Amino acid sequence: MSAEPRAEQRPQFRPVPKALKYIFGLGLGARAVLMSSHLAGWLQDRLELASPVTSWTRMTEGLSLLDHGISPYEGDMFHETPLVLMLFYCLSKIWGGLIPIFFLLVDLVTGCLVHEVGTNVCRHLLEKQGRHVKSYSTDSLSLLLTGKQLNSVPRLMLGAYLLNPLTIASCAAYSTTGLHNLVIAGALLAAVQGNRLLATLATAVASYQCVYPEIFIIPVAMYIAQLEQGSRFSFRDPDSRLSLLQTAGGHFSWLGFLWALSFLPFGSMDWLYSTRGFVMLAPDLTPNMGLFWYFFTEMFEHFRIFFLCVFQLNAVFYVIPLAVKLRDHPMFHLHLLVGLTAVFKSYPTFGDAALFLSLLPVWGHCFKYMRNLFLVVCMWLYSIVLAPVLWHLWIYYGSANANFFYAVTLAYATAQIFLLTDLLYAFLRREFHLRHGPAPKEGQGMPILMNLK
Amino acid sequence: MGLLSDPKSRERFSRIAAKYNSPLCVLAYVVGVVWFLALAYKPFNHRTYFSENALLPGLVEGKFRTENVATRISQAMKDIKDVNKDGPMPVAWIVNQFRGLGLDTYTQEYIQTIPVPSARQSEEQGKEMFVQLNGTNVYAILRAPRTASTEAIVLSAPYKHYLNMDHNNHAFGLMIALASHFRKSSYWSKDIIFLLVDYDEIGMEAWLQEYHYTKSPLLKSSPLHGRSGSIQAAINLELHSDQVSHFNVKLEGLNGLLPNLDLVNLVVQLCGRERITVKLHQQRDPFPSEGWPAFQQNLKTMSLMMLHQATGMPNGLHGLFLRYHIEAVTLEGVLEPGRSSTGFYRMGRVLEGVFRSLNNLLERFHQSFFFYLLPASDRYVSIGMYMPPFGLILLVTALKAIALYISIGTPDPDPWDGAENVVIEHIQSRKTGDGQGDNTDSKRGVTKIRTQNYSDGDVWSLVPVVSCCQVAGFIASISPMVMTGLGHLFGTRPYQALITGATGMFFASLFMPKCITRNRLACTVNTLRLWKCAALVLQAIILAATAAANFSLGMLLAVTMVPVCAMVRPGKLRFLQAVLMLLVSPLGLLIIYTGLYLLLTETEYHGVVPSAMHLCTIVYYNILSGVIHGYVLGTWQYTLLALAVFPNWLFFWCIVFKKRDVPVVENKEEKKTS
Repeated sequence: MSAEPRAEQRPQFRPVPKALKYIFGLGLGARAVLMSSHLAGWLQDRLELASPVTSWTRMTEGLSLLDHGISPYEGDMFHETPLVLMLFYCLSKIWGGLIPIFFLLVDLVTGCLVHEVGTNVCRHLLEKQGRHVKSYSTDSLSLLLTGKQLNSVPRLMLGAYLLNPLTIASCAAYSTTGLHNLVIAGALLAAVQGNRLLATLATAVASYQCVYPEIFIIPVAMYIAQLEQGSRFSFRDPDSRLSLLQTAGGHFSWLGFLWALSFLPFGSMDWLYSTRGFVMLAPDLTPNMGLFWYFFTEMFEHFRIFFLCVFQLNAVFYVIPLAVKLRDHPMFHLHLLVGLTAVFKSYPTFGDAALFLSLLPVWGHCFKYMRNLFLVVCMWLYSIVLAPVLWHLWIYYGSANANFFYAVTLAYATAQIFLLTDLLYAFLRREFHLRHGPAPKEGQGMPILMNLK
Repeated sequence: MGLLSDPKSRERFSRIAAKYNSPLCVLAYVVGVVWFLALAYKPFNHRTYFSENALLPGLVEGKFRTENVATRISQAMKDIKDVNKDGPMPVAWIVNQFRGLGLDTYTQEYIQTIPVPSARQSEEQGKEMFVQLNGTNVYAILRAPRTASTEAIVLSAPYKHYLNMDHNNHAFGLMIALASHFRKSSYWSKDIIFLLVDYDEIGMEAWLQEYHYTKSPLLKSSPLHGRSGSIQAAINLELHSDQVSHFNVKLEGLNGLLPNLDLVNLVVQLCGRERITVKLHQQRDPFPSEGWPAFQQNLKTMSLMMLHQATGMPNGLHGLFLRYHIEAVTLEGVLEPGRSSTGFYRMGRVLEGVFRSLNNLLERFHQSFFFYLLPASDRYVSIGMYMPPFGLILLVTALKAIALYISIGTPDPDPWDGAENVVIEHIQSRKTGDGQGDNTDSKRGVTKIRTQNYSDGDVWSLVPVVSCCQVAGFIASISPMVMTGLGHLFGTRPYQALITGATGMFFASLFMPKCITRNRLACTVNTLRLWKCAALVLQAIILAATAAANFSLGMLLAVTMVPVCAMVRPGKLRFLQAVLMLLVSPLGLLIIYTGLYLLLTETEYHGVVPSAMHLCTIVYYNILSGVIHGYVLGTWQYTLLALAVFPNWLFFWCIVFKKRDVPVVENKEEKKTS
């Protein structure tokens, strides 16, 4: 095992490995079979897979309204962005059969992007390790990354995305969550490659599409600034500040451009209220896997604005403490944000969590410090199995009630939060051990206990 | 969150969970089972009460006086039946009876395709693969004078009795008598639908499907020409004679659904007012209500209810209403020889009271319990009371899984001695090459392999096993239909083909461990622990989800499967383990619980062989009806067993036989022999 990273070893162009072919084949096959089976119709209305924003039923409504020359944003039915609407409009005009193919392609491309994210992040981590290896403890050789991961991790990620039952189901349900995952994965890839123009465009597209990735710009800007400034990076340094501002500026100009583009087809900005406003104000309280609906149905109307602010701040606020704590690790920060928004967003689906799950293998080297993995896996399985059962008992049989289902969504959110905090802890602890050796001792020679307060 | 973030308390917890694992498991299981059984004892359950104040039972004075109509009509119907035995339902005559009262009367025809024909019919119609059943439902609507037909209550009766082919003419007589009484009153604020159903459940399903505009591919029916509003509640009536000694109240519906407890209370209360005895599953409420005999009686009633509920098959026509969120019960009037009996007058007054109370409802039943068990007609055990013991039983699974998970990476005391020896030998032979070595060496070897061997490879070995088990389950779920089709080609009787399909996969998969041994999966003790840990986690999830939907099924599965599956370990006492595992296999459990049911209900004992034969016949019919009901009515019990419980069980079965996999041991034996 060599401690030296081999960053200069760029993988040359090779034919697609066998394992990847199998993953692609299996993933596409499963999606195609599920799409053509009679389950597809049932899946389309599953609230776990399709939120009011991403539901295909609503998309067809939007398309038909558009067909009749009515703006879909005038009603209260349609909340997907105009560019996506236009895309599907064109597809349905050319040939209706293009739509399932399009959904298959979206998932395929997302898988490839996730794979590339894996390769790039691994390479980035190895390079970084090469720069810092002198400051590490000599005992912690066993904790170091090796070049082997460049091969295995991206494949694992691809498998985790394409073979995940959640993404398969969500693709078969024609949920536009797949599209959201595509733009987020694109943003991650563009960010890790460090090209400012591309990265700002990608984050702008992602936040145009799913609103919450707006906060991605903070770690992305820090990452780009660190690439440019190297070790001189600091928040006080004017050059670094300039770089941060440039990235933010780029992002917002791209966003403005996208908005302008969306202005063209309808000649008004009504859509902004129906898409972004809908996500921010969460007026639709139909049950979903998120935390909003139960709370806001129970609450008195005059507290609504206040708690809306609290809930939305909760979704985005963690970016600031994390930016401070993970100042040197913006890539990890960015990945955590993907997970955080998947839990705290107003209309989450299983597909959102699946993207975060498929990103996890990159941080596989931290797993040995995770403490609640077993618990998280169990809670996750429980909530995924029980959610449809209790939903059925509540809505169809009328024998259970809202509390049963809400308990499951709480367990689901708690599992994800455990996973996130645990991952953060494991990451920080590994960093600690890199510097102090794998078994650091206290003054009296006792092994020290790690605590996350 | 001390336990989750504080390493000290965490370590303490895991140490306790690992060290005292077996005693804790035994304790949890015993306490859980005893607690659950104790719920049938009077001080541990509660007296039923009315949650819905709008019902106001007992406030109305019974005015039912048309019992002579009931006698006349039921006699007339009997005469018609005597003329054409086993003929079709006399639709025109029934329609005339309703029309004579001035009610809106309609008929509905339907054709049900049965994918598996019965033996008798297939002989009659040659080798017809699909058999079609035609029937006609008759229903009449009494329009409420006070509202615009937005809500309705249903009084239904099957044309023939549910299980036996006895005619239900008395119920029809009482229905007509009630209709003639009800239509004179002006206080109805809900429509009353009188429904006479042909062919039991199928006819009822056809009517309900058409009423709610739902469709099923196997059932075609003519549209309903007359309609009323949303149905609030339904009473289904089965009378065996014109004099009854008690009402047997049937609750269990499709897929283990139960009607709201308020409706049950209402019926029980009003029967009490008219001094008609109420029984559950033909079991009388114990008197005196405390003491050991009373406890036994209560426990018997509760067990019968659970056994019924677990089958997921409705024990009366009311069971089909429940799927449509309509609360319904069946009142079965039974005449027990030697008991005092009452006639149509009292029965009519009970039903009048029930309908007038239902008429008072302001909103749907929602107040009282939907999840409950009844140890007696006036005592209940609610979900909050029976879930903790169930949770304790599941805790056994969870504790075992946690202990195994902890033991995977650490050199703590080992719960699997038998498996460990194998590993010791494994390492020795690998290290020294000749399988010899002293004790200290081997101990070191074990520690070493534990610390090193937990790699990704272990986790991935789950994938082929779990998927093999799932594939076996999938085949089992579709094989009855496939085998019926194949049997059709080869000229086998459809029933036999179906049974072969349902059980064949089970017997075939018993040999699965052999097949798994073939491929060279690295199988260290850690891998096996991980396997069992995963199997336990899956089992807990399956049981919890089952109990949420159908508590009795979940509980009956848990009580038997949990202790056996928790004890399973590879290698040791394989024969005993195999026997135990076979007992808790889906088929074994079906036999056990059918036997228990017969033990509780049959009074006579005919000797070992006839009883065993009887048991086999009943099990045979249970499997048949489980599969067929799955297709015709949409019960999911067979699918659940085939797709979830059976694969999980198979996983454990593979673990039992896994020891053979360590190839080094075999090599060593070869060396010894050579």
